[in-house]
Amino acid sequence: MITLDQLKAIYNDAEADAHFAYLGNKHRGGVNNSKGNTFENFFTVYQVAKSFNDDDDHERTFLSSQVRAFIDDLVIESPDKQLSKFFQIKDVQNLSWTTGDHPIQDDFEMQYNVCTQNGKDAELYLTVSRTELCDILVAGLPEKISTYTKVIHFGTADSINSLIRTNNDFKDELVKMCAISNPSSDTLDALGTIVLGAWDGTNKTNVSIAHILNKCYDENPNYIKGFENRVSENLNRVLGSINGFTFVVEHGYIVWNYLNSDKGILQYAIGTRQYVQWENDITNSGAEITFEILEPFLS
Amino acid sequence: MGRKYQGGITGETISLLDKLINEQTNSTEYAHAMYELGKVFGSILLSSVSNAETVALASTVEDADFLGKGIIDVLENNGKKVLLTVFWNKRFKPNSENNLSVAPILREFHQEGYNKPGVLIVIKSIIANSCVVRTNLTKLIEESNPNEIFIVAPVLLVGAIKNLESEFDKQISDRFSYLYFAEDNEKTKEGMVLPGIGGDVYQRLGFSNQDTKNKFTPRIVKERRAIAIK
Repeated sequence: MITLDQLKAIYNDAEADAHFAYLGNKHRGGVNNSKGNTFENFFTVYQVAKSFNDDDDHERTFLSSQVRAFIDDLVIESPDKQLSKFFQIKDVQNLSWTTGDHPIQDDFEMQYNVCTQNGKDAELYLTVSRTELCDILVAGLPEKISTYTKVIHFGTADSINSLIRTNNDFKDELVKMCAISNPSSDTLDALGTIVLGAWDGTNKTNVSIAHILNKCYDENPNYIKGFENRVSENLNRVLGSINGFTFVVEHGYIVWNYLNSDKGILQYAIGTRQYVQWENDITNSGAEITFEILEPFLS
Repeated sequence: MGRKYQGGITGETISLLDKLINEQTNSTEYAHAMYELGKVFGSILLSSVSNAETVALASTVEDADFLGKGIIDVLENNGKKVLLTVFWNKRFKPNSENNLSVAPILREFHQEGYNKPGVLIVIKSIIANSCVVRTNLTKLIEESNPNEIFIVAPVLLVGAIKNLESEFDKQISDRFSYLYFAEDNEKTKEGMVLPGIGGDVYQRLGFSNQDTKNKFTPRIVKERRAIAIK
């Protein structure tokens, strides 16, 4: 969040006032259209998955969107690393660094100036959805912002489901985040949409990755990779005694098969409250368990 | 609330749809009406798939014994082999503030060879935002390569076809054909289509809620599984 005082430390009073008023207008415009299946939100889901997979400090990595800043679509801050990443995210056909009342090169320059003034390291990114536009913007990147600015291509779609099919970078991060080996697209769709829903349900200001993940963990299933890779000996014995039933544990989830006809993924991650209840229901049933007795517990 | 019937629909089929809407229809009668609607679809499909000896049919768990069985009975009584898939979906909204919804597949049943036929029939009692159909179709298209895909539901919400097609590449959605009897244009804010199929299909069929229907194993699954084991 940029303050008027921060701007006055860099620019003269008139310039600072003008820039601050511009930031206010930009902020109001951005807030209005940032819900649901939007390019900005898809890119944020990608960044959440990337942060999860890169094993960043989830408690100390914060996301914000549409804050009062010159580059404001997504800001990722890691205070411990003294690093902030600013993303301007554009799903447009055409874009120029230099044209318009407020050329985007000026936004990048001013954002960098503010960060420098505050003693912060900053990486600035312009993310666009079209490959051709990305190539044009890379070729035309103004020299004065080129040392701290990068242009990224990130394809978009109408929904998470479509994006998984068309954007390999997005799909790859979800695959890495997913508990299930070789997940099918419907599993990735559920995972990606749950992350999107968790992010979209926040106020989008200084939201930690941990907070987003915790909201995801409230959903069953969520398919987020966990660390529990064992089931209790008791459960192992009960499930192992059922003719034709086999299972493996994949990053916290039980993936099962029955003969060649039935299969599934238990919706509760191992170790969760719901899983403990589920295990208790099965192991304490007393009766010899057959698949016919077990199957109502599998979905 | 407005309903538009498909051209050529008979009075008998309209009566079956009315039976679904009627609040006085009990769960047994409701299930039977779904089965009869399935038979009507079966007759239509019979001429559409005349060149295929074997077809794949995918159903949600709640539709398998009723709408699904009606279609399967007609097809199999007329010499077609039907390979059944059943999905247990759990539909939920990860965020109630927007329209996001997901329907992950918790469990699935397949007859051997389900992914081989060139004809795939995907059924659902009603298609509104197409979340469940989209999920199940995505899964099946990933595992098989049907050249004809019939999407079958007694009732659609206006816009459901467009919604569904926007989720797939054109080369896939070009293979879709739709069979339905009525198109409704009103949906409550809770997502219920009016008049639709007379409310929540789980409750109308006698399941109290989604969890209950997901603990249910359709008779048709048990029968086909038993045959496979033999």
